[in-house]
Amino acid sequence: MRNARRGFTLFEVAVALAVLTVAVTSSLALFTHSLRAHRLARFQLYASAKAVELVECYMAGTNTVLCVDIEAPRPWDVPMNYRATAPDLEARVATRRFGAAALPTDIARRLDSDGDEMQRILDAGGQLLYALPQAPTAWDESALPRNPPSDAQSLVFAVAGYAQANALFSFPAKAWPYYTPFPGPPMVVHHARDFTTATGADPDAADYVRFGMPGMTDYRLYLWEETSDPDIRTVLQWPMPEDPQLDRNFGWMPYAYPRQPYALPAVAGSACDQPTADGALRYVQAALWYAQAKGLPPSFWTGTATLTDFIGGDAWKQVQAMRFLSHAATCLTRWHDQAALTAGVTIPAVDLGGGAGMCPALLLTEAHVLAYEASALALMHRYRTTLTYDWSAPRAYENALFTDWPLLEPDLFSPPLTGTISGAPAIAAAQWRPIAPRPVTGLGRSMSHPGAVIDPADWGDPRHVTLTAPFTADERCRQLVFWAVDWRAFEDAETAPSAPIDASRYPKSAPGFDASGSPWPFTALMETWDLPWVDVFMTAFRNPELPCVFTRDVTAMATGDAVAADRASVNLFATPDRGVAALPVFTGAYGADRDFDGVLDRGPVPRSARLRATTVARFNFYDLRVPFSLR
Amino acid sequence: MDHQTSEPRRPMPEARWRRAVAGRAAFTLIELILATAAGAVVIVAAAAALRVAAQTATTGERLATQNALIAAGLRGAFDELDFWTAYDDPLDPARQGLRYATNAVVAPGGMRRLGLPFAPFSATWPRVASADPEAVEGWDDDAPWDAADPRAWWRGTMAERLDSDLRHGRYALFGSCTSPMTLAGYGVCAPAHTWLPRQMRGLKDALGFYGLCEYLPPNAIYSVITGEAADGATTPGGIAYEWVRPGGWLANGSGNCSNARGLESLSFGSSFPMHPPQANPAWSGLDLLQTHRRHVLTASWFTDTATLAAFVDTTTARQEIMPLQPASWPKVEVAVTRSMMLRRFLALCRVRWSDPTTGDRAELAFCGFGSTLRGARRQRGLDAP
Repeated sequence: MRNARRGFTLFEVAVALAVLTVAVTSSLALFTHSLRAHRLARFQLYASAKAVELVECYMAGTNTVLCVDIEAPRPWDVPMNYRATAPDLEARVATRRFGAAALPTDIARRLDSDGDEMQRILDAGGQLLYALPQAPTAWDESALPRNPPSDAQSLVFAVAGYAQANALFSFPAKAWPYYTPFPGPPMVVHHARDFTTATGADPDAADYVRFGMPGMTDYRLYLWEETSDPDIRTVLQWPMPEDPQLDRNFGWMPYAYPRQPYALPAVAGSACDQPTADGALRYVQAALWYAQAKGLPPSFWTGTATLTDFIGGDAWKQVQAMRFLSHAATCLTRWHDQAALTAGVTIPAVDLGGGAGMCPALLLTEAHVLAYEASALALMHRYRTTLTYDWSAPRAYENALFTDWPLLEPDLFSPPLTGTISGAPAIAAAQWRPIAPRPVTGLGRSMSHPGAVIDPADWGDPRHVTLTAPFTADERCRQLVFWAVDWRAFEDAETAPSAPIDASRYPKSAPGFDASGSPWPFTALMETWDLPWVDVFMTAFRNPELPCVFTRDVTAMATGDAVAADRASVNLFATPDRGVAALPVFTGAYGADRDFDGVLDRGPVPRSARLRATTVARFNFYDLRVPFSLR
Repeated sequence: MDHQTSEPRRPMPEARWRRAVAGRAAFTLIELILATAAGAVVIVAAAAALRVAAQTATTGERLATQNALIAAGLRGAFDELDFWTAYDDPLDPARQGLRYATNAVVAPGGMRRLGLPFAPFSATWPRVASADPEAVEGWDDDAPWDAADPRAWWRGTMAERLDSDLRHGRYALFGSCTSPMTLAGYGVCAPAHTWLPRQMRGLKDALGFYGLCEYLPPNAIYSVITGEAADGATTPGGIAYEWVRPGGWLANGSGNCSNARGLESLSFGSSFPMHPPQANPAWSGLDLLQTHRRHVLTASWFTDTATLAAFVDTTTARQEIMPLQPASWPKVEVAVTRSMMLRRFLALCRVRWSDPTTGDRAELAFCGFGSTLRGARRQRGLDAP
């Protein structure tokens, strides 16, 4: 009886308390788990929104990179076709204009994840990305109103799976297609001062057309098209060198810009560059001469019916001849009214001199003018749709609904081209050879480097073309993986240097020659002589963190100090990151204001610690095979 | 036993009593202290657990509520991307402010029938059928714009500028909004191709600039030749100033270029806005007609923070998720900003929330994609002739 009535022993009480503690702790753990689930759900929302944005940026981002050299005799001498313009999702969106940047490697290496996936991606050469603080609008970040902090910056994402072999962004030796108006005169290259001649000689040599645009006499124009068709010179200017007496010159230049270098008498109050009816007539004569020189029959220019198909022979010759003929004939409508043109304007046969010989005669009427224009567009359209890989004639702007971007890709199964970097002959370079589904004909020379021969032997083996081969999604599937981790809690979240930047993101100049004909040294190419960096077009280049990167060392500054003035200014022509001296800015060596809040932030987590990331979401995708925009 | 029962009770001897009492002794002081301590631990642990549990539950509930509202905000943003209801609510006539159309002069030129981006084509640009494909007027939603169709080829000169001396000739001979057309110093011509320039002019008048750029093919060249006084001043070759004049309403002043140009150049550093009417309640229909026909300089080298902020403000459709809700719930706002700059049709979505309990503010900003303006109009049947 006494045992039955006695109280709990201390041991029993302790056991009971332990049981109670376990029960309470377990309950609390459930609460904690619930909180984690809520946090995960939050980040899944962020991830879905960011995934939509990445797709939008990937598909809608402009493909044009207008203010970067895009042609060079050797493919490794321009940044195009390197990683910066590859149609891979992470390469396309990891730019400052498309909303993502690589997490600093110092920080990325301190993150753990399930299966160590983050570190495996880094080991394989990939990058962990984070969302830039502002959505990618292309508006200037510093001019936008201050927004609340972006919670999505706690997301880290990466592409799992290897990059695929896809189309070349463009052919580096010749950025085809070239465009020109139809009707139109021969294409000349403006800003031609630094382009190479065939021998790398003085650009003032005779194979440059020495004409100045009105008021811009120091800008020479180079007749690029004659590198593949010498007869085109006659349509632009004949004879060459020009005759000082204007009326002995034929072609577009002496008609449209009859000021230099012809020895015209000075006219008071006049720029003396006024075209004349006689000049237009001599332009028509040059165009007729060209059509005849191409072996076309008289019916080609005497008929007044629209040509909708080729009349036999080389298609490109007919396209070019009608392009010039229609342009020259249309110029006559400035000088002759409808009555005169209905009656017909006599185009006499004349000897163009200089060994060119006679041009055909023609009674040119308004019906001819109309038929030439319609034929020029119709023949061009047929040409570009049926002979896509014939590059003999530039394409027309006027076919607004159609473009014939060639399918080119790197040949990964043939030995690459090798050589040395221009201006740095001690540095070896290599690049995959290009291949096309069909042989390219009429390859010609490039506009930028007409002196350089595009060697057909540089092309790879067409049997290795894959762009036109069918594939299943699983063959090319990659995965976009999102994690949540508060990397901004690290003490060096803003002082850690940017992740290593692919060298192709530096928009260096293509090779050029100085006035003595010597090639520019490599440092000159890096200083990008004569190549302005126009921010708005350079979407694929420079440091993705550029709007945030610091222009000086801020490590001595106190936490919370204002740093807005220490960020790189990104403006139309602002180039705080250009040149060898600015490499620390280009590479982000000083860190970046990564949340763009204008103050220097240091988190509480020491750099010796590691953080564990939680996997949030995975999205399957495969990269574009060819560059294009979705609208 | 009897003896015991019959014997009167005697007091327990003291020693025995003490032993008995000792067997039933109360807690010792140590026991009491331990018991009190243990009890306190239990009470404190329980209280702490309850407090933590309550806090956790509260936090969880708050997070769940926030998540639900943010998710609702995201759904709202995605719905807006797909359906454009903040710009035009098909179920609420009071929220269809962008269907306005009128005969007006809000651009260089004379009186024309102008519409806002959701005005039905039947009101702004009615279809006029013709046996001659070039003479068809109005928007044909089924027209394929075949690349091989000569109607769809642009005919003009990209070299002609405002100060042209016509050295390139007269391209009105080939294509124009007007046929027949009188060309000063030449005569009366009959351009064979009128369909494309009329389509371009019609889209501009019927929809404004954003709609014009979206409906036209990506590689379109922006200029039309016209001989009609209502189209305003023209170059000597007949190109309407409105299309090419640098610093005008359509063309920006970049490079002082006054040639016909493509969309990239046309929107270099400038944007064409879409203004939701409720974001600009003080604006009249005429104001909206005007603002949808003006580019805004939005690049930093052209403008300033205030201008850009005003642009963002007037192009943003805001929507509060659950306007009627408990005061303790987070306030969530969805904002969608639409414009076109540098050839990119931008739809910037911002889901912004503020917690009245904690004071926290944050936002999720992203650029999304969904229905085009044309798609949204087709949803509403506005493109029918």
